[in-house]
Amino acid sequence: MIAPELAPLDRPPQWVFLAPGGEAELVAAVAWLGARLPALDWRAHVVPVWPRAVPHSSAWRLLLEEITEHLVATSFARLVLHPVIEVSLNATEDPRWRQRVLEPVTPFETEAFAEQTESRLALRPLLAAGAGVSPERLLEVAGALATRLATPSLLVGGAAADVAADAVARGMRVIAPPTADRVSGILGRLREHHVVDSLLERAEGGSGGLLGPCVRHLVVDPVAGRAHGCLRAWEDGLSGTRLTDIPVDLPELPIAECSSCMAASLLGALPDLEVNGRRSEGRTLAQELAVELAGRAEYEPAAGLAAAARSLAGSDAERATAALLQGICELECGRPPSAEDALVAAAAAGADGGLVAYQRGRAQMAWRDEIEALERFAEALASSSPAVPRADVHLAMALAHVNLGEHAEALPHLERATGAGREATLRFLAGFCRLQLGDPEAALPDLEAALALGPEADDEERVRLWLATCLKELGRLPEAIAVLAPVAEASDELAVHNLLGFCHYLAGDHAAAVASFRRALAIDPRSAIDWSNLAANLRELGDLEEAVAAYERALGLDPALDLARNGLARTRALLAGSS
Amino acid sequence: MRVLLVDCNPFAPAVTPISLGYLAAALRVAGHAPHILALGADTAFSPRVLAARLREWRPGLVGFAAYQRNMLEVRALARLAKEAAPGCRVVLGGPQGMFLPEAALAALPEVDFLSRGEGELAVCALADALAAGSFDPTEEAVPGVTSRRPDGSCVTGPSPPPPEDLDVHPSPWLDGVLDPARWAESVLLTSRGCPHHCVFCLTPATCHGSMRSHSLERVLEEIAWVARRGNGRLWFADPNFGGSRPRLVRLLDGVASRDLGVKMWVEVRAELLDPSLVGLMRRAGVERVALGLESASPAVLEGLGKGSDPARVRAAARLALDAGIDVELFSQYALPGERMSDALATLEFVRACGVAIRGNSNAQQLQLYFGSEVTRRHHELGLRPLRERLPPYLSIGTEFETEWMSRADIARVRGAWRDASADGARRVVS
Repeated sequence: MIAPELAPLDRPPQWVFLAPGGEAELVAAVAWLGARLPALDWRAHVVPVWPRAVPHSSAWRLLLEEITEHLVATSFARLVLHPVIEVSLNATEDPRWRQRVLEPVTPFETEAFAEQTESRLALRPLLAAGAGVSPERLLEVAGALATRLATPSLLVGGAAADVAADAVARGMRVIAPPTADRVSGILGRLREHHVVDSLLERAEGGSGGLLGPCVRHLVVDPVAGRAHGCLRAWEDGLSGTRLTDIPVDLPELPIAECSSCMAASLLGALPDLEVNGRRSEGRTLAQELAVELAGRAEYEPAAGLAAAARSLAGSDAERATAALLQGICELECGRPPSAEDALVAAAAAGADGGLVAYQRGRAQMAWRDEIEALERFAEALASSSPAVPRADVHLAMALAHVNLGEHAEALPHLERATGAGREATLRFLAGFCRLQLGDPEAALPDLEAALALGPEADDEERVRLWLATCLKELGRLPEAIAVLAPVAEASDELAVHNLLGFCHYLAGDHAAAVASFRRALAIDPRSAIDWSNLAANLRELGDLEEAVAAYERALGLDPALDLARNGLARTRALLAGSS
Repeated sequence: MRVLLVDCNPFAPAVTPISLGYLAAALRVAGHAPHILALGADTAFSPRVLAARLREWRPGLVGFAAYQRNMLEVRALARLAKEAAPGCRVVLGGPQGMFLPEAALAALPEVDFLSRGEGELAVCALADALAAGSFDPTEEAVPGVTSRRPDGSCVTGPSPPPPEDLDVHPSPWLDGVLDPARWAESVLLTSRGCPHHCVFCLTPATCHGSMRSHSLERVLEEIAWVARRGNGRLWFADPNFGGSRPRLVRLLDGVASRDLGVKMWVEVRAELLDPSLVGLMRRAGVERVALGLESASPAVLEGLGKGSDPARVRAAARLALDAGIDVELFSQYALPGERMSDALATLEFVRACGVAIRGNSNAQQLQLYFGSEVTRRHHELGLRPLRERLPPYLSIGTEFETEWMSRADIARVRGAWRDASADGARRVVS
């Protein structure tokens, strides 16, 4: 029997954050949410972050009614309510206060007792101290509530370290109070904790990477009348979806947008992780996320995370790993001094000496200190570390020698830098070095091979320039011109037009030479040699007056340019003779 | 007939519904159209969309894997199914369905049938009967099924004898009912039954001391299939995986020789482990071995009918750990004859074995479920229920104290284990 398959289930929002608003706006938002509770995940969490102390507001009472109605109608659904409760001095002294807080869960506790299961409505508040309530008193209230509720979280500042430690020991989560606007600040803190929870969940899952959208969120903004699929989107003031639409199919954010939020959230949450006795988890997450971001070439956030992992390291091995990664990321961010500092620290902590030396060499290269770089690279090669990418080191050493004009020293390194995907680069550099060593015959096969191998698009012009130079040196002018032709039209490289003009001149095509030198001068009007070259070709074309003017421009820019001075004299003589 | 098979556990991530997989494979061969819905704590869905899917699909029969822990959800989902697909019938299977007293049906208006015998036989017989139309299962007995008659009385058809050759049941893996790529861990069943008579276990009541196994060829074919298509993590859920040592050796040999790169979790009796078997386990890819300790007190153990020896458990754990195989020790507290000091000694014993207290090494309180000897004889064994009345579809569960430990004592033992736990006492297997 063939029957259609049951269609897949949905992926609805699981965590709902109710942002603050006026009482009437909150009531309207709760009514809107109430009608959509069955469209949330069957195991939903609702977090009202409201300015008025729960349990006094009418919006709170309406929220409880809506939730109760939903859970009674859908008796396999579960919900955890996380209100921010400001514990006031009066409230804690009022015995009815506790009763009011606990009231909503009572029927569900009764049901759970009868059915030998867990309550389908759990209250896990975030307790904040109101005016005059000491952290110690807050903890006392939390302890009393914890006997009946899911363990609450506490907003406790760093000044109350003892209380925080005590709370953590009793299984509570401690969150540092925000310094900015209280309500939106709390949402920011919750976002940080949520992102970290998502990361921990993925890390524990062990399959796939850490990056990706968090658990499914829905932020309801009663003031704006809009809903958002993630807390960060709401914080950033993105437009969101109108509440009049049903936001059950909120699009998942692309990973690129999540990675910066994840990095920033984790960095923001690290102090709280420490307070909550999860320093080691924080370090592991920071390190693993940094590795993942670096693998995606997102070096800026990766550098910050690696620095954090380094500061949280509990052993030299952890410190070394984090500092090495930090150094690499700093280097990729174009900050060689910071990279050098981190790499030195990595070495001090016992990181792989060869690998550190290689990266320090790269930092010195970025600093343009090729001599120091060569020393570091030699140190890397001398190490027995299998982690040292030896071919890469040889390529880097070749480049350092090239930069120092030591072309003969570069060649042996190029021979040892062989590796897949870099053949075009190696052949080009070999050809370039041989050309610089005055051996165009030997250089030509390398440069031709570099072009034939298909260099990177932004390297093709460079390869053609030096291949043309080589051909020019060999007197093969038509070939040199043909090599440059495909890139000349679009090129803004002065050397290309200069060389092309020179080849045309030698080939006796002065009109083409004039066109090339005019392109060169359009790129750099202060190039004295190109004014002089232009003048020489104008003279050959018989345009003596314009040639004189061009020579004078050349000498105006460089009075010591003998070529122009001699040319000017010759041209003036011709002009005098002709008149 | 469209048959929806539901496994719902809101307290833990969804795991491979292997038993429902067997039912679905059998139903498919019998010409029905089964679909499995495995709902765990990590399964995302909204009640609104679930109701819509049920309305669209209109199952004729909905079966639930029922346990004491999920009866609230089972009942709610059964009601939802009946609202969304009027006319559909509901059958409970799983341990709760198998051992529920007939009288419980009166308290479960949303449930029509209880599956009593071998699931494949009972559910296929029921689906056939319902699909035939002419046969009224509420009037006539369906083999292996308890039905409620219109007058409220119940009729139970005699359970047909289960097949000696387990291979007659089609494989949920090889028949494509379960997809290894879908699950973090692929659960396999190579045998059913157990020759031992542990008083806390349900298996003696279902198998009466006998064991039936799949052929080694079928098991190895399943393992290879699952390993190729999934992530290679395998969990053997046999009641007694090492029931026959020669068979276990041939099975492990077969896996090792195929070089499948699997990582396996197995549970065996401690006395089975010796250096050669541990070495073979390692070669085959056993990553973790679970041993049933139950209690470190020989006197307490004697009353459990398990016939195990803590010294053997300690030696077996050492052997496995030394070979690089992780070890889990199953243990329980509030056992008959167990005093507070015995219970705490078990915790110390586990620690002394060098076993990390996490996952299945978190002890759990003895649970009194329908079908077990310890439930049937609880008065005699010194177990005192805390409640005078229970819904008829629930057993005593953990709502008891013992002659030797009060409720407060049991809570203290639970707290001690929780404090010692490295993962918040999150046990995987109940």
